[in-house]
Amino acid sequence: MIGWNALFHSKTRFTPDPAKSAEVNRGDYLVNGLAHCDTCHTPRNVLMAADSAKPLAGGSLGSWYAPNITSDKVSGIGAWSSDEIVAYLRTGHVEGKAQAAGPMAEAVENSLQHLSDVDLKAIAAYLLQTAPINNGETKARHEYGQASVDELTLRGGKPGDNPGWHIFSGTCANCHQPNGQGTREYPSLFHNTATSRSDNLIATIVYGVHREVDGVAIDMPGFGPDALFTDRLNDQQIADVSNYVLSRYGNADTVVTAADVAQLRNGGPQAPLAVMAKFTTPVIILVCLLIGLGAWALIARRRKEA
Amino acid sequence: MDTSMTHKHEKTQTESSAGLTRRNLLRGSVTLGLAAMIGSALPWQSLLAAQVSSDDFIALSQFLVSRAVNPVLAGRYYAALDKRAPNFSTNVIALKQLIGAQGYKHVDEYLAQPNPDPSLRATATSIISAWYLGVVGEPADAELISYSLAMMYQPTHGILIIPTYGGGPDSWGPKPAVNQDSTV
Repeated sequence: MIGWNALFHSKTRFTPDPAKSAEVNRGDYLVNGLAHCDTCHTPRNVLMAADSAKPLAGGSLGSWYAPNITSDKVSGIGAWSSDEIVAYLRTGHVEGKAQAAGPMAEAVENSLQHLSDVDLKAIAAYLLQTAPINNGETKARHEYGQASVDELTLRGGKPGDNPGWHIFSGTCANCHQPNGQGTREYPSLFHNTATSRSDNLIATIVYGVHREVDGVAIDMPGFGPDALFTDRLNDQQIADVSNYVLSRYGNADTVVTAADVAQLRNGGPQAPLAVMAKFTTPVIILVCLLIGLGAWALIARRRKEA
Repeated sequence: MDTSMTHKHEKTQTESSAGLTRRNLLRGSVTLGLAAMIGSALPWQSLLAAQVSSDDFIALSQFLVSRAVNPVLAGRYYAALDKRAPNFSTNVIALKQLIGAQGYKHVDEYLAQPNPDPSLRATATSIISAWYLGVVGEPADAELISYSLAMMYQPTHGILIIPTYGGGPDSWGPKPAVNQDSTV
C-alpha cells in the first residue's frame, strides 16, 4: 500500500481557487471533497487509481456506469441547464433527460436530496465550468430515439418476428406505453440517458430502480434472477428486449448478447488488476522458489570453490 | 424420273396446309413458353383484379365507419381482406363508385337503400367488422391485426377498460378512508 500511496496518494487538502467565484469553489469542495463525486465518475487506471488527466469523465462501477459529468456538450452534461442539474440532484429525475438508478439512486436518496438549494446550485455551477472532456460520442446521451409505431405493425404477428418487441409489449409496455412514451409516473424510453448505453440499460432491467425521495418511493421492478417468479426474464430475453429498446429508443448502434447480460449480472467486466490478482499466490510461490533455487545454486558453487 | 416434280408437290402441300407445319408448331410453342414464363413472373391476380390505391381504401373505410382511420392499419386490413375474398378489390372500387354516384354523405344512407347489391354489401360489412373487431376472417383462419386500437373499444373509452389492459399502472389510488358508521 505504501508503494501505491507513494504513486497516487496526495496529502494536500482542498484549497479554493482564487480565480474562481465563491460559488464555484463551494461546488468544487462538494464535488471533489464532501460528496466525492469523482470517486465514481472519474475513470480508473490499471492500478485502480483515479485518472487525474480525465476528472469526472465517466467511470465503470462493475454492473453500472457513472457517466461523464464534465461540461462537454456531447459527452458530458454541458447541454443541461443549471436548474436541470439541481432538479436531478434533488429528485433523481429530469424529464426528457435522465433518472438516477443503482448507486446514484443511493446517493440521491441518502445525501443529495437533503442538500440546501445553495449547495446544489454551487455543485451545478462547478460542474458546468469543468474542463470539457470528450469520450468520442457523436450524440449527447439524452438525444437518442423517438416514439415507435410497432404496436400498429407488429401486433398480431408471431413472437419470432421480433422477439424483443414480444417481450417489450408483454413486460414493459404496460408502464412505459406501447410507443415508449411513458406517463406522468414512468419516464419515456427515448430522450433518456438510460437507453444510450448497453450497460446501464441492462443493469436497469436486471436490478430495477429504487429510490425514495421526499418520502415518496420510486420503484421500477427488476427482471433478473432476483425478481418475482412471474417477472423473471432469462439472459436471452433480457438481451432481446435490450436490443429492441436500443434499436427504437436508444443508441441503435449498440448490440447486446446473452453473454453480455450474464457478465453484467456477475459484476461486469473485470478490472485488469482483479484479473491479475488471481495470479498473486502462484507468482509469490514461484518467486520464492526461484529465490530458493538461486540461493541453493550460489551456496553449492561456493562449496565447490572451497 | 419424276422425283423432282413429286418432291415439289409434297412441299407445297405441307406448306399450304392449315398452319400445322414444323415451323409454325415451333413458333407457337416458343410463344406459349415465353407467355407462361412471363405469366408466372407477374402476379396474375393483379392482371385480373383492379388496382386499389391505399388512399381509396382509407377514404372508403372512413366513410363506412364514420371515424378517422389509421393509414398503417388500413394497409394491413386491406391486405388481410384481399387475401380472403377474390373479388374484394373490384368490390372496393365498385362501392366507391356507387357511393360517389349516389352522393351518400353518411354510411346510414348507404345502409338504408332498399335493394342493395349483396356482394357489395358483404364487402362493406367485412370492412366495417374488420375495423371494429380488429380481427379479419372467420375463427378458423382469423388474423389479428389490432387489439387495443380496435374501434369497438372507442365508444366506451374512458369508462370501460380494454380487457387485460386495465386503467394503467398509476390508476391505483390510495386506500380509501374507512367510515365506521355502525358500532357492534
